[in-house]
Parts: sequence; structure tokens; C-alpha cells
Amino acid sequence: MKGIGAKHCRKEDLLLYYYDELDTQRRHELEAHLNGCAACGKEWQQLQRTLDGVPQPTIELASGEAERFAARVAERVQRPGRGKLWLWGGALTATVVLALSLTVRPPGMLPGKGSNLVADATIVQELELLQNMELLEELDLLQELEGQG
Amino acid sequence: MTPQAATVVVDHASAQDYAAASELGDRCDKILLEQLRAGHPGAFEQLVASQASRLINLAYRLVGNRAEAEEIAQEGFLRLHRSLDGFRGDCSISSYLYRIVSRLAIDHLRREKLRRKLFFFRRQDDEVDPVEVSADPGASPRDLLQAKETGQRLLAALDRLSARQRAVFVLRHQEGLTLKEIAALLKLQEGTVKAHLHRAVRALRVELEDLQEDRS
Ligand SMILES: [Zn+2]
Repeated sequence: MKGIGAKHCRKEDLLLYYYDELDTQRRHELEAHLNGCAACGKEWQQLQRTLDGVPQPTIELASGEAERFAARVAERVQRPGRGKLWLWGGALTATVVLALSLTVRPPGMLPGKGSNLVADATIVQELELLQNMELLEELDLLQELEGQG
Repeated sequence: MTPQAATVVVDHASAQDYAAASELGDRCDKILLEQLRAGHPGAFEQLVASQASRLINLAYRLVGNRAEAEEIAQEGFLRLHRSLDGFRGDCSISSYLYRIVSRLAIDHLRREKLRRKLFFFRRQDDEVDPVEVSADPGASPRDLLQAKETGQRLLAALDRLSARQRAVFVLRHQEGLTLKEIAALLKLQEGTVKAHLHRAVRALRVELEDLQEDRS
């Protein structure tokens, strides 16, 4: 009954073991423990069963679909402009600004109510995050990827 | 074998596809790049057609919605096209596309999350796209239905994760990237990637084990 005296497996380690991400020494220790410990063995089997059962969502492109998609992309190259999602990102910022100004001065409410201030501060932070993310998309990601090309 | 294991093909082929595509890419990229830069008619379109399925699927696994996935993949191709002149060829076109599409998908997810948070809006489970899963050719309609249901539950569960947790799980579990590759891709420390993976799996287990208990 080797391994019984050793500490039980950490869930993190079992997970890394599943994905073959443990270093050799840790893997050997874990395997030795698993061989002798029913509780960890059970936990391992359950984890394995769940992860093995995770489906792989897949879009099977029907015949000709990839070509039609490619034709659409090629057409977009000819007439540059932003796609729906990216246009929508700009519209979103505008909407947030509007929503924010409405939140800051709710009709019939005294400004400066403690809880509202906290909520407003959170929204302001998130608005900044949103803008940063758009900046990131525009500058950071583009430049950096182009630099790597 | 559990019913799920029998009906749903959990393939780890993506990782091999990724590696194979990169190797193949390295050899073909030089010629392709020259053709693209020379404005060779049809070269770009051909490239898009050959990579479309892989990239749309990558984005789909990350965002869980087909229309959005196609839009993201399209944006990735457009950005490649715009940066062709600066492309020095020290990374393959296919790995460039893989990287840009994953990042665009993650940015999109984060923005989506924020939008829902700001507007107190949450995507309902029935708004998640019908799931297409690769199934055994011999699977019965009932098995197929079960596989679809499990897929649906997975997408709904993934939807509740943070953008990074979701990305790390999808890239590790479904795309077969190593934690090290994911860390480089997302510009995170490897320890942070591990923590995201652990949290993602902990949350998913609650959802999925439940489902498996119902079936067994
Ligand atoms: Zn143990």
C-alpha cells in the first residue's frame, strides 16, 4: 500500500496530469500515489470521465461554403470598411456614454447618494476598460501582429 | 464506454492540424506570399478558402456563435491582407492567422461580457446556437440528440466563464495547445493560465457531471 502516507493529490495536479502538463518527477509521484489511493483514484476517474465527455463543437462547412466565404472576404478587400461587429463596437461606446449620462443624473433623484456613486464609479471604470479594449484592438494588436509578420 | 464517449467524437486532431498546418505553411508560405504581394489573381481568395474552416471553427469554439465566428474569421483575413507588405515571413501565415483570430475572438468575448454586464443583459441558454458536434457515423438519432444536448449545455456553461477562462479552456482542451503556447498567445504568465484552466474546469464539472449523472 505505497503512497497512502503521502499527501492526497491536489485537484490542480490531476488536471495538469490529464493534459500531460506535469513535469516528469511530479508525474511519477502522482502515478505512484494514484496506484495506492482509492480516494484519489476515484477523483481521477471522475475527472477523466467528465473531460473525455466534453464535446467538440464543430461547424462542418458544406461543399462550396468555404469558397463563398472566401469570395465575400475578397470582396471586402476591394471595398474596405468595418465589419458589422466592429461598427457595432463604436455604436456600443456611444450607447454606453448615453446610458452613463442618464445614470449620473437620474431624474428626480438627489445626486451624491452613496450607493449610486459607487455604482457610477464602477461604470466609469468599465467604460474606460471598454475604450481601452477598443484602443487595444485598433493599435496594440494590429501593430504588434504586423510587427511579427 | 459512457454514452457520451460513444456519441461524441472528442478529437484532439486540432493540435496536430495546427502543427501540420504550420509545417506545411512554412514551406508554401514563401511562394504564397510572393503571389499575394504580386497581386496574383485569386491567390488571396484561395488562401482564405483553404484556411476558412479551421479559423471559423476556432472562433466558433471561442465565442459559441456561428455568425460572430464568421465575422471574426473574416476580420482576421482582412487584417492579414492589410499587413501583407510588412509580412517578413518569419512566422507562417497560418500561425499568424491563428493568433490574430484567437485574439480577436477573445476581445470580442470580453466586449460581449461587458455589454451584458452594463445592460444587465444575459444571453439566454436558448439563444446559444444549435450545436453541431462531430458524431460517430453509426450513432443513433437518440445518441445524436444527446450529443447535441451535451454540446448545448457545454456552450451555455462556457458562456458563464470569464473570457480568459473560456479562452484558456478552449485552447487547451479543444484546440490542443500547450499551456506554454497559450501563455504566449494570450501574453499571460504560465501560472495565470494554469489558474484560469483550473477555475474553468471546476465550473464546467459542476455543469457536466450533473448531466452525466442524469444519463448513467
Ligand atoms: Zn490520495
